[in-house]
Amino acid sequence: MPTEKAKIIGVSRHRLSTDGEGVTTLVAFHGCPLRCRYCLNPHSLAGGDMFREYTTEELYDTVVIDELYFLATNGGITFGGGEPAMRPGFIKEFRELCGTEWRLTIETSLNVPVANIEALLPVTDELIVDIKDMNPDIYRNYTGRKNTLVIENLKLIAEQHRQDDCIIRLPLIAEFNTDEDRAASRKQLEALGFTRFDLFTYQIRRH
Amino acid sequence: MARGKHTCMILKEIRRQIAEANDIEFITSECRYKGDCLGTCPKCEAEVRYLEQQLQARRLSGKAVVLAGLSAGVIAMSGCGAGRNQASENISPELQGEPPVLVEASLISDDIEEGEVIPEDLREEAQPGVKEGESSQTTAITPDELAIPGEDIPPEENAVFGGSEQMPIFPGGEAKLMEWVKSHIQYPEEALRDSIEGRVIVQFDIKTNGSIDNIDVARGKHPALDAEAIRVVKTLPDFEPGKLHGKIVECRYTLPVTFKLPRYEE
Repeated sequence: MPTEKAKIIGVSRHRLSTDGEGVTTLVAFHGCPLRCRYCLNPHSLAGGDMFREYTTEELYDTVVIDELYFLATNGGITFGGGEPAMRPGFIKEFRELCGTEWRLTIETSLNVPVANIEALLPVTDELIVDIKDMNPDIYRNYTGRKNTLVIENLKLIAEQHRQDDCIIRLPLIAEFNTDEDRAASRKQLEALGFTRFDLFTYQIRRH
Repeated sequence: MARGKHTCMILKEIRRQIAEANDIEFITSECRYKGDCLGTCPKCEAEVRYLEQQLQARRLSGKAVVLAGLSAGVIAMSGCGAGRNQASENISPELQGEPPVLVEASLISDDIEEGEVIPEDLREEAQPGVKEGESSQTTAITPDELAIPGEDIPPEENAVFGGSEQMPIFPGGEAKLMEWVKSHIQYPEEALRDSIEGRVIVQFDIKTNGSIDNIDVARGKHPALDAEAIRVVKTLPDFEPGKLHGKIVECRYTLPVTFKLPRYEE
């Protein structure tokens, strides 16, 4: 009997290859352990009272209307947020509901207990990891947290030979890191066997 | 091209490919709506339901169904997602010494999909507490994309399918809605006899006066359960209609109706 519940800040349909292969629906969880200076979804950090809590069944019922597109394009659900890897139980239970044909992708910082990633790997097809920066000082400066768990989880993914299922996003963050820092991050990650990188620049809005 | 048009075209092409691969007669018309939208509308949704029914009929008659990965190439060929999932060989020119980018505009990074509706004014409103220097990245969700339960549609056919600041409200709230559905279900004899239970997902329009119209079964379970789910939805009292920027708008609402067989207590 499904029992898991989670607060969800948004469900966004018909995303075309921005959050994984094929047609995907993005499901964003509330809650994150990081406090990034330029957080993309700051309402994932705000008090959760205004957001609806879903059971896995309710979420499945909500997203299943696009199953035809998922199956036809090798798409499925991308879990983001917030930090979806704080909800391994929910995602595992969701996998039981949706079956094996939907692709499940998680967009994560990997800054969660190793046990969470260990639980998620068997039910996840792809991970999109925004690594921020591999330098501990730059990381802490930007996110307010240490990156010890990130490193441990990267090693776990490497031990389980799942590097090819990871896309590592390497951001250039104005006033926090440089091209040289990013190149150094990439080198460390390549040494762990990661080969798929997405280089991009944070666009900062000034008012 | 208006926001959403690109998404609409791609989804339509996927539907066309599914129909063609499975010998399903399928006539779709070109969308003539000119404004911004989310890339789908009640007409597009109805085409999906139709295809699902036809595919199910094929399965039941023992015919093969071609679906898995059929349209995997459509998105790639459309040019979507060009900035994502780069292999390590495709090093972005940004790594070659591009200075940090500080931009005045609130435009999202260039690898966001073209169909995404985040109008500038709504994005400003829709991110409470956005501080100076907030970044824009590809996975932004604004509250106007909160589409559950229900999605917004305007009065015109094939028209804008945008976000709403306030979803339609059942008198007394969501808990009362679930209570109403549960207390009004009359379990069909046929389903009781054959021990059929499950969940039927129903979609309907909530008009600007709060009344319900255009009830469709988005995902059925069994004809008897589907018919009963529609009947129960027809008994619902008027909702408080949805609002967009304070203006009352029509909305499309999604409601799961659960049928559970009575359990005998030990």
